[in-house]
Amino acid sequence: MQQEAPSNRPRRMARREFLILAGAGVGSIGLAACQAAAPPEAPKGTPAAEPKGPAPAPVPTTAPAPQAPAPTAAPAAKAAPATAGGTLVYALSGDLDDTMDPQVTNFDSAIRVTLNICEPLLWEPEPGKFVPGLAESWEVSPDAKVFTFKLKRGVKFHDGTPFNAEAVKFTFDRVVDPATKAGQSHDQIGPYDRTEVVDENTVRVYMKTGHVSLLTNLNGYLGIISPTAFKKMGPAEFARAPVGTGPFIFKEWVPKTHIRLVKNPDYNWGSSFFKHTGPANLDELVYKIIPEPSVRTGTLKTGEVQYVEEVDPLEYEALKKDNKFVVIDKPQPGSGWILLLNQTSQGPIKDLQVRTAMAYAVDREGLNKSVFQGLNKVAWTPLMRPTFGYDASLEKLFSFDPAKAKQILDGAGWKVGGDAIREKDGQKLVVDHPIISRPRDKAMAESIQASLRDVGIDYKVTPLERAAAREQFRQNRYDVSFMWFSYGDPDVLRTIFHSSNVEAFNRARYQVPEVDKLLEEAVGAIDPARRVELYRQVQERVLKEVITIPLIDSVSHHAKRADVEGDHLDALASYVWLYDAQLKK
Amino acid sequence: MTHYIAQRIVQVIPVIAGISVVTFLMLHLVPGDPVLLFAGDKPLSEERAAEIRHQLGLDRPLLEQYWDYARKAVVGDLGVGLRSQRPVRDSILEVLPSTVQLTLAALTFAAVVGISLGVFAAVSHGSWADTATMALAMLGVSMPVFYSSLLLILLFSFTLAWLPATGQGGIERLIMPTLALGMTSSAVLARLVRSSMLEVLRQEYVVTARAKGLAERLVLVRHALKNALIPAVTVLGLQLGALLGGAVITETIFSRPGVGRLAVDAIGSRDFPLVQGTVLFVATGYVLVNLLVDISYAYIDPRIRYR
Repeated sequence: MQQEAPSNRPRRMARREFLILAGAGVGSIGLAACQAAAPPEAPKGTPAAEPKGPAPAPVPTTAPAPQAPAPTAAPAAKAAPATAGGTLVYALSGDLDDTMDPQVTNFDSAIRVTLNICEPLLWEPEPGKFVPGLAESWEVSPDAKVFTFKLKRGVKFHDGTPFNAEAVKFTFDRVVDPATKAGQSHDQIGPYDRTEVVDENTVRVYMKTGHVSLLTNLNGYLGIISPTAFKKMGPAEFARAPVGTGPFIFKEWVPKTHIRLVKNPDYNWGSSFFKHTGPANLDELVYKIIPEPSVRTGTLKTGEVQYVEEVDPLEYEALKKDNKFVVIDKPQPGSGWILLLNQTSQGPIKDLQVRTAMAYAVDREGLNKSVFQGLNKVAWTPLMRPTFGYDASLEKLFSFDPAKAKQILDGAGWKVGGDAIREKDGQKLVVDHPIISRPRDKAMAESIQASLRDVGIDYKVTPLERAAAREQFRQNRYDVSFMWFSYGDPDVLRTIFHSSNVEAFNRARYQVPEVDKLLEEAVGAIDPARRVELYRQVQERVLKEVITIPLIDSVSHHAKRADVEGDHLDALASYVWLYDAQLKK
Repeated sequence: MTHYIAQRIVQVIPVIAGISVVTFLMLHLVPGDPVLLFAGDKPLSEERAAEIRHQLGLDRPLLEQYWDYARKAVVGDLGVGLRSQRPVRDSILEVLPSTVQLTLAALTFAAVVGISLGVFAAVSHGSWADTATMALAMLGVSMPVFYSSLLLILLFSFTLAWLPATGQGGIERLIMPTLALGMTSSAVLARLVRSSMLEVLRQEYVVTARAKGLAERLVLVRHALKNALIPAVTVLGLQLGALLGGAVITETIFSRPGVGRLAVDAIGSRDFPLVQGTVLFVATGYVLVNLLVDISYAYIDPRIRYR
């Protein structure tokens, strides 16, 4: 999410050109056929088929695994490509926030695990491309207020109860129920009004105002849970052992160490997007929590794990050269690392010339090299490249040109003083940037500081403890703020530039009614061409007025052992889907 | 003796009460509204803020809040984790065995290695062996835990592939964290034992012991070491604090569960009851262990209890 969040906590979701009518792809027809061939439900009470493959070492402190065993033994008739099975170990870079309840957690690391257990209505493999999840087709009203989902039939939760419209309603309703103490899901569901159960397999979700980002937000914190299991277990127990419809079933959670999932032998409702049908290829999926980057990357080399996220930048080159490993680079959608310039500041930056000079003076390439080992990309607009509506024509509007910056400042009357800092009418050219005291933030701020110093601007960087920094922003005592927001939809611009968010993430304190209107129209419109045009106007305006100085587009870096195949990194470049994954040989 | 122990126990009570006040106030002393801390970075409407304030009981008078908190804490009720919805006590007890295991292992390592090296250096006082041992101890004192941890992993896991780098369970996953964590404390102890041993060896009763023809081994163990260990015991108790602090880093690097990491991660997820509960638990544990040290002191050194 935004800049204050630690890296394991980014927000989610993407959306893009969404279709009024999508879904029902080729695959879902094939799937229907598949379902028809599926064996009828077997009697309950059969113990969950224990996967073969390497037996998991018993771990003493196992978390409770109270959910009822999967209903039936491995289906015989189902096709499914025969593969080796086995266990894949995935190294998470951050711990969970003590819950695996998708609607309660605030952390992406929790969702990386729960997406295997609690499936979404739709999946988004690439930004703006949606494929059926638990919904086989969907429709969005032209004002983006009413979403109708046709649900798949014959789907069962891990506790054996059927998945239906009630379950969707239950899941969505609990997001807005204060008793849930919802985390990210509360933001993701947006201006949610209610869910109407049209029939057993159809739901209609109503928004109070247009909210096209709902589609992209489904895939993650809004995964569907089993109402029966939740009511039976209660929130605390459910958070330790979630129950959904996914291809993997929760097995154990050893806090701070690992989470073990086993395949759901009954699973035969996979999305048409996936390459196979039937149960997952892997027998087991283990998520290991390894916060230290060099250790995490090292365990990939030793084979202790097969997949890592957030590759240690210092190991990046070596992994890339070694054919035993595959490095996966994927740019993220949303708004990258940007500077927001406080429009209400009474300091020198209220002068457009000063802001323009700053935009020319910042050396983005140098910053990318010195802070990110060159592994990210320089940014040109407040939207990152893969985001729907990214306007490439605005690239290099202000490319690095210190000479031009100096010239603009000279022209505006800011003359170089004795200490190499410019001044005008006795006022020094000082720009104040409070930051949260973290290594990366400091390194970025210092790089900018050096660039601006070269043109005679005294860029004061004040590292503060998180809460103190936020207090500074709240009291409007700053000129510049960092911001970073991973998000699947250009609606992220509303979060950053709409006047109603001045007390939140609109740290530029930008309040322009026309821009508000553009942003409001864009989130309530479903015509992609219209949205592109609206977001183009917003990007152009905030760049030309230098409300923001974009710095860096972030790229996610995952790595795996070369014998892992069939994994897919989602639209947000954040969640790895492992249903198709298999270990060669 | 009983009087001495009772006195020490009574002295501990205000310390623990003080700790409870500090952990309770922690939430109120951090800059900014605690409600904002809970809500995170999301924009917050006034009503929603009031709702959360009420939910967390923050709308009551401060004294009442503290009383409620302290009253429950006394009977072991540390509240409920905001995210997990489970009793904080359960979360702590779940990771406690791992912390106890690592701390005891590191403490034992520190004691055995530290005392042996210290005695060895003192006995070979002035020789090259003394210098080498003390140089080693200097290195141990100066090396930060995160650095030694990474070096150990690099050597034993990534290069030699003898030991698994991460996780908990089994002796093979305990060796490296123990070495990393115990190294500094053992070095501190070695230096201390050496100097106190040297001091004791100059005492008249040691000279007497030697003069009456006791074997050198007996002189060292019975007469010298027993007296030289008294300051070491105190330091060992104090080192427990350092071990708990270092454990956070060791646990993170080796991906082990533990109370320290529980607290640090709780700060990250802004789970205040969990942070308060863990801090209170650890601080109280530390005070109690030092109480034990003080009491054991009385056994080791009779002079203390007669004071």
